[in-house]
Amino acid sequence: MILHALFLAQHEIDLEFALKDAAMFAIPLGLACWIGGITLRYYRPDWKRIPAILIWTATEALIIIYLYDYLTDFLGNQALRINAQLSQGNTLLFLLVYFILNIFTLIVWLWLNNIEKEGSDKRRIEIEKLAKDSELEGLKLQLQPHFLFNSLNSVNALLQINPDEASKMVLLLSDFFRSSLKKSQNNLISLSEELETIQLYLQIEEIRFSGRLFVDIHLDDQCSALKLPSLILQPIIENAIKYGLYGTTEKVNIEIEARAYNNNLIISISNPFEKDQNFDAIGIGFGLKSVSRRLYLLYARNDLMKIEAIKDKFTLQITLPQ
Amino acid sequence: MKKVIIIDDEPLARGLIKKHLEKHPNYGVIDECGDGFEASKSILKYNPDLIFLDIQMPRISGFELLEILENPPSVIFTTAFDEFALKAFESNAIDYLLKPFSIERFNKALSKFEAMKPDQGQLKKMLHEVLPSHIEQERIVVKNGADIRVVPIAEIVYFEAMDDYVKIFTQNGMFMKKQTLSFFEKTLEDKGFVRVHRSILLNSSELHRIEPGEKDHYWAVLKSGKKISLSRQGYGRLREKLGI
Repeated sequence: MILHALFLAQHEIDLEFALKDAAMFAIPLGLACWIGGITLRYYRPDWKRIPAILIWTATEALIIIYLYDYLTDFLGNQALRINAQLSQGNTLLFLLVYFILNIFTLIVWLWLNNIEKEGSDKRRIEIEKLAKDSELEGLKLQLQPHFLFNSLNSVNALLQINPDEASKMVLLLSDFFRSSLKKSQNNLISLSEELETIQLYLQIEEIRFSGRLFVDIHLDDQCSALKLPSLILQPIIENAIKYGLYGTTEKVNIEIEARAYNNNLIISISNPFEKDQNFDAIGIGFGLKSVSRRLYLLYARNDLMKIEAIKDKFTLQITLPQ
Repeated sequence: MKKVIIIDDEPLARGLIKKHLEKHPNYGVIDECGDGFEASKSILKYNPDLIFLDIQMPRISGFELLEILENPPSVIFTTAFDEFALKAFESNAIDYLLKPFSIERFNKALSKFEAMKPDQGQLKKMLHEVLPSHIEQERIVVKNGADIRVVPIAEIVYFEAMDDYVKIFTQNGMFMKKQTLSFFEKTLEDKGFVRVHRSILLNSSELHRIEPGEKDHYWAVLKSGKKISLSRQGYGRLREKLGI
């Protein structure tokens, strides 16, 4: 509108008239643009509708020009406009308006599309993250019911056989579940924190397996502050105990070793193993599958869990990038 | 007196059952086992009237143990958590104890056992339902005399039907199992196994090439060099599996 007024003013036209004239032109044009913008917000035509849009903007341009004609006439500006040197007739004006409307439509169309795309990208990323989180959460929780009900069964047995131990077991279980609940977010925790929970777990297992369980923990000094996903060790140790126990009387030695190497935290857990029973390929139960899946979801790598059976020792090693 | 064996990897779980049984003087616990291997030997040795059997045990599950027994004794299952097993129990009206259980529930299971005649048919039907899920875990448990082996599916070259048995040829020798070939055909369909002959189920990843014989007849040459005759239908199925 200002440009329009200046243009007219240049041609030695009175400023007041120039402004009025510019307003007559700019207001209908602005109105048309505004309507177009609103429409596009709710209805986004695709490429196939381009002819229809072109026809629509042409109609708009015609209306604007006639409105401009009518209004300038009404306000006595008509003579002025015709007298001005720009009066190449309405064709040029029509082309100008038509061009402005189409450019405007295109810009709004692209702009709205862009906003929407950003929104949907954000939503998609959010949905993916939610799915990943809930899978991770699920993987952790799936490990619990079996442990929970078996432990409750042990408590039930201890109440009959050794009530003092039963009480101790209930307290340990409460501490263990409290500490795993606290950690049930998917954040990384320090090794020393994870080992506190593991200690509770091991004390429970020692009661459940009545003095047959021996656990050695070797820890490099620099390790205790290194980070790992919470509750990742428990299913591995559970597996080691389960597969390390033979018969009803043999003792089982579980070794847990943690060291720092090349900016990684490396943890190995081993249990005794009878090779002649052809178990090399089978040592992976549900618990371990879920560990490797969690590692994959968290670090996007498939090579972080290694299994090795040498002589009479089964060792599982996980590598946790820092 | 009725002979009882308790099979559970947890000493406390066994202890509780023993404790409950003390109140039933007509039952005597003759052995306790911590895993399926021990149990299979003990069952052969003592021929018990009743076993208490945990399902989730290390190495082989309670179901796999029952599968390898020629004449499984009466069973009361115990389990802490296994949706799949519970479904199988319920659909076959088989009694089980859900851990932890009350003494009343335990006594009820015992009286149910006393009231019922052993029904191996029902047990077999249930095993038929639950075992495919174990095979999905990539393994088959076989028994050769007292020797129990767990065979990874990936190591199997082919199955051959023979009377009531199936011979399982693996990279590490041959094993026999009382089972039908069509059972394996059905459960291993997605693992690349093809019925190439009325009596042969072949692991298609063990195939080296197909060789034409006389007339319309074809041979499958395995990676080991062994040749297997293909039936006309089997040849079609194999080509379909390989997508050629």
